[in-house]
Amino acid sequence: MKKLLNKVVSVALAGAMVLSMTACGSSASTAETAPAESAAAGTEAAAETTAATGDPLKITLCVGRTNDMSFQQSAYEGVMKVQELYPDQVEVNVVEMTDDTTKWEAAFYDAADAGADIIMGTGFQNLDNFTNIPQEYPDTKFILFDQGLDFEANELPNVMGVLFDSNQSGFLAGAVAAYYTQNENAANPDKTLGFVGAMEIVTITDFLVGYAEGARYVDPDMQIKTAYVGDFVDTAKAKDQSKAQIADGADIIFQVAGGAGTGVIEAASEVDGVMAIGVDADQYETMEDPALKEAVITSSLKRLDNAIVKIIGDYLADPASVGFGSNVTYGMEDDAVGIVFNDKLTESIGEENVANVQAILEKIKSGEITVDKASELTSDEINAIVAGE
Amino acid sequence: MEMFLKLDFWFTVFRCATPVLFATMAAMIADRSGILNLGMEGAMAIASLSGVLASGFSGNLLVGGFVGLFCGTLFTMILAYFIMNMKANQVIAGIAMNLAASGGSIFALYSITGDKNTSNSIQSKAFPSVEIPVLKDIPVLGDILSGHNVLTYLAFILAIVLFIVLKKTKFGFKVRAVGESPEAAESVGIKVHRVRYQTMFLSGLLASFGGIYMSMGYINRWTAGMIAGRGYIALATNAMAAGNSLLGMFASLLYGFGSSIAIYLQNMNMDPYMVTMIPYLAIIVFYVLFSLYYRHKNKQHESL
Repeated sequence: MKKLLNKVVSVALAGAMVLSMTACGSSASTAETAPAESAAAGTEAAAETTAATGDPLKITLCVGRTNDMSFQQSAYEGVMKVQELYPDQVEVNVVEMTDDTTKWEAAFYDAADAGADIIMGTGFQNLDNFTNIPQEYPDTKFILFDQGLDFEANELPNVMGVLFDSNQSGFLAGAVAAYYTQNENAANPDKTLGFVGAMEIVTITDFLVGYAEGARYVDPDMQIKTAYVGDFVDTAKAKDQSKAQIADGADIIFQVAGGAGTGVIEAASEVDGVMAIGVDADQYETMEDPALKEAVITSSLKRLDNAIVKIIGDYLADPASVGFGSNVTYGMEDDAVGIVFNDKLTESIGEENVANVQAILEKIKSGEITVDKASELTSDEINAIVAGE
Repeated sequence: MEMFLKLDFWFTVFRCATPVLFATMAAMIADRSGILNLGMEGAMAIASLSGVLASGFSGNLLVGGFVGLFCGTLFTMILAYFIMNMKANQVIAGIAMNLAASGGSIFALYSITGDKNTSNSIQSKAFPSVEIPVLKDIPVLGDILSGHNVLTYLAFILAIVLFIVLKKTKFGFKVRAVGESPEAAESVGIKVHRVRYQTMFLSGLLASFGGIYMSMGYINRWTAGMIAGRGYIALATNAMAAGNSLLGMFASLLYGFGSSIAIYLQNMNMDPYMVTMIPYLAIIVFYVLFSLYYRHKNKQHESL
């Protein structure tokens, strides 16, 4: 009896080891969505775009994980939407590469070898992968989100870098801040707003330029306090900087500081009537601590899902209309950036002001309001905009 | 200059100085026994993370604090073992341990909670702030000195205790003897190894206090990289203090003062890159001044 038990245990252990090895070896779990009932009937549109090969367009999205509550998740939702919209024309694969970035390169090679037509990835971590791998697979298209590529130094006609108009979502954040700081929920009637960024670099000052312009669009007297942490990790310093801004009369602070930004939200949560604006993801949803949650009035968003739907839609209609071989910027007119509209926002600034913010959103979309871009300004010009000169 | 009139400014000085003061004392006690402990940054990272995890899972502040101190001290004892028994180079071993701690702490957080950047999914506890009875009623001074975190007061009390221990007690005497001449100390029957292990233990404990202050006082959660060089700055403040923990207190406050200036100057829209240098620049300038002073003093001594 004991022998039998030993055998069972050892077989089970061996099985577990084999399983764990395959789990490591594959480096990625592949979640394959059913390739919509093979285009049996085939609509006219499908016939047009896939006539050459007769096969659906194979799209592979490689992300660290699909549930990061930030832009990787947004990308995942995007490709799922694409699958739903064009069931006969596309075949979507999603590869979860895990958070271990050393495994990512292999995952992209796997995807390319598996015959994907379009491979998508997200984030600055993939800059090298999307510069080197595409040169070996000239027939495969590559799209990298939220990171520009150097098309002058490299021959990359089959790659596209997708950037986002952060200045436009910053503009809405500024408008929200301006409405909030004057109403009765705010800690003080001062027209002072705060901004804490990670570093003074274009991807971050782009938010700031929009923030300042948005706030002054609502009320030209708004004053903006800015601080930069100096890195993306020093949470304690970010908290002290926020406290200093709060002491100077700021009762709403926009944080664009990566991991250190939690310190800004914590500082806001400690003072009644002070709120923080989150970034990239809906931080009201991502914060688990109830005290921090309640301090997040809204968040500026990057909607990768909408950008993906737009890009694939355009590609299916006419592959030449998609800007491969360059960096392309998507903004509010494509719903690729925005802010969170939720009950917390309504409760904080009132329905009337929410409607005002939505009106501003429409005006940016229609081009009635144009927001300056940090990449097109010098440092001095940015400082002048922030100071309101 | 109007920022110097703000009470919050001076309050921030003490907040910023606390973790550096703990680390300065940690560097100092090891240094006095002749060991260069570079592992403070790592010990602080380990202590800050394990404190948050333990307090989150147990729901008890003191359990969290104790586990944090234990893990940080254990980390330092491993470093001590490498240095003393394995004869590893102090600088290389210290830096290697720090690098291991910075990656290892993120790995540990990820394996335990699934988070990679912050311990958001854990409801950890924080040490409370306390009002000092009589002091808090004094205008201005009360606003600046009262209402700090318990650990801030502990840091300043320990600095005074450490000063007395090193100057007046038998243990302090042994530590200094071992630090100045291990051979001589050994010849009079002092067990050099044992004393150095004792000082490394205390060093680890002090650094761990700095660590738990970061994640359970200063901030109420752990984020990757949150120690952000405070364990290294302590090497400079320790050098400036030259083995005197009251001077160490002064050096830490100087760092806090520089940090506070940097924070408040940014509010006046000064160039952030320039402002970020201030606390470090202040330490370097004062260190040079102090070195000159010590050299001058030694020369006078020799000429007598």
